[in-house]
Amino acid sequence: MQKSLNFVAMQTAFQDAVLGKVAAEALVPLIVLKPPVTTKQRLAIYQDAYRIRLTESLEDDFNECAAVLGSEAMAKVVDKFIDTYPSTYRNLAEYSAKFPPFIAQLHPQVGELALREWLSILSLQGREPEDAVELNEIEGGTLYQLALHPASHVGQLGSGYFLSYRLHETPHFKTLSQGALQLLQIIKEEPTLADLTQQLQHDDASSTELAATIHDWLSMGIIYCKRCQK
Amino acid sequence: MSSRPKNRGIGVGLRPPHHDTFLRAPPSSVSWVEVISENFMPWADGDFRRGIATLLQIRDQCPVALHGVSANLGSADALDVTYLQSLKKLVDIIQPCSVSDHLAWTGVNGTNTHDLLPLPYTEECLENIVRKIDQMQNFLGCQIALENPSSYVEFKHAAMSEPEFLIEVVRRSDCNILLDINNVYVSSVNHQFDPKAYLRMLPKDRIDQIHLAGHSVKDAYLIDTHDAAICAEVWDLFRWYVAQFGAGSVMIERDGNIPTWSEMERELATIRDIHAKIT
Repeated sequence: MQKSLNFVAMQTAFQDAVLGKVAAEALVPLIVLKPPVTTKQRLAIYQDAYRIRLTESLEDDFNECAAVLGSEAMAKVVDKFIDTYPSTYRNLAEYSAKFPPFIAQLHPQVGELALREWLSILSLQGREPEDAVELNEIEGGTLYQLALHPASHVGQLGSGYFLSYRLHETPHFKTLSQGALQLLQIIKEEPTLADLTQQLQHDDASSTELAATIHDWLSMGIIYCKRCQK
Repeated sequence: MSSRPKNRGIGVGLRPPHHDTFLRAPPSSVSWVEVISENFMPWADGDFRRGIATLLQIRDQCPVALHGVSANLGSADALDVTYLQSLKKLVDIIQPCSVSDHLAWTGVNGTNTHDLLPLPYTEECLENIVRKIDQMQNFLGCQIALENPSSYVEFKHAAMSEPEFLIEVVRRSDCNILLDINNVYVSSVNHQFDPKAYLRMLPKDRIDQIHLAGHSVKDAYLIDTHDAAICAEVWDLFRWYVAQFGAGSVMIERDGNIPTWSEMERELATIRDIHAKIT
């Protein structure tokens, strides 16, 4: 390597060394030598910090998977994930998003557990909507919309769909039928009750059944009602 | 947009273990808090998380400073507009008493290493970071402060020392300085320079705030870990700085092995003692 690279080339080379794509020795000609700490030791501080941060974040978020797989097997998956997906997130908390499908490929027995752990985190962090109207506050003559609660999240694993939501400060997780998934997708668009009735007219399920599902979801906090803003 | 920093008194880096203490009533020992911006910014989906409600409650009782770790100002990459939009949403809702980030880069070609990587202090690097600070300040509509990082390597082709570079960044971009005295100390040991000489060089009227923190000691070098109490050498350096240049906004950062609030109070009391001796 030349003693001086242009700015972009230098940063690319430095980052490649931090990510472990190239050996740290490649950067030695660029770094000031100040014994007793060697250049390799100095670069290793950055390499270690990168890997430790991502590893700790993943191991915190998926501690149940780690308990099932054992620490050695989990460490291997985490290492492989970090190598495959260098972080592009500004917030380290979002780095776990791609981990469930990744671990499901390597260890299918914990795929659903990983998805459950990740969706539970999302559900716990979802904010309370400021515009929610309680069912007993609904007034006649006012238009209302349904909306997905910010703590409710749908995840996919293979061909299966799962829902997590928060109830009484606890995350809950359930599999979704195709019908329930379709209904949630409609509610994600925040329909008015009239819109929803119209869209569901062609549905095979009886209106009584759908009304019961919507009522259940409202009472469990999966969805909520708000005054119409349309 | 340009303004000189105000003395906000003594603050603390507010972390989740101490949220309840502040929600009940902010302790009288602190007059402001600082949080990590990324922990409260909307995520990639554009939504704030639940923590924003906590921060808004705390903000109603105590000024909040926003300290970022991922603006990536020193990177050759262009500024991340999505990141800036998220930060602006947070700034607009919190109305912070200060917005800051680092004299560093965190990644290039779209990657984020979640670490503060060292800059080569060259003219090319200077022009790049000044341009991006200017863009960020214009986007946010406020002045920002830039923190001197701890570093573990220096580049052979650097044309300036770190304080020379920082002074030039401030002059050209009209940003302020977030002076981390622990970082000056850590880097001074790692690169064998005089920390007092570094501190003497900085324009004191541009110091937005001072950070104090703990670090880890390895065989022959120090690592900025924020997981230990502030060491005697850093207290001595802070004491010297305050005696030479006076008291300003100062806060304690702790990110690992976070102690109970009563232990934090002991370190805050040390700052008060140091301030009291010069007044």
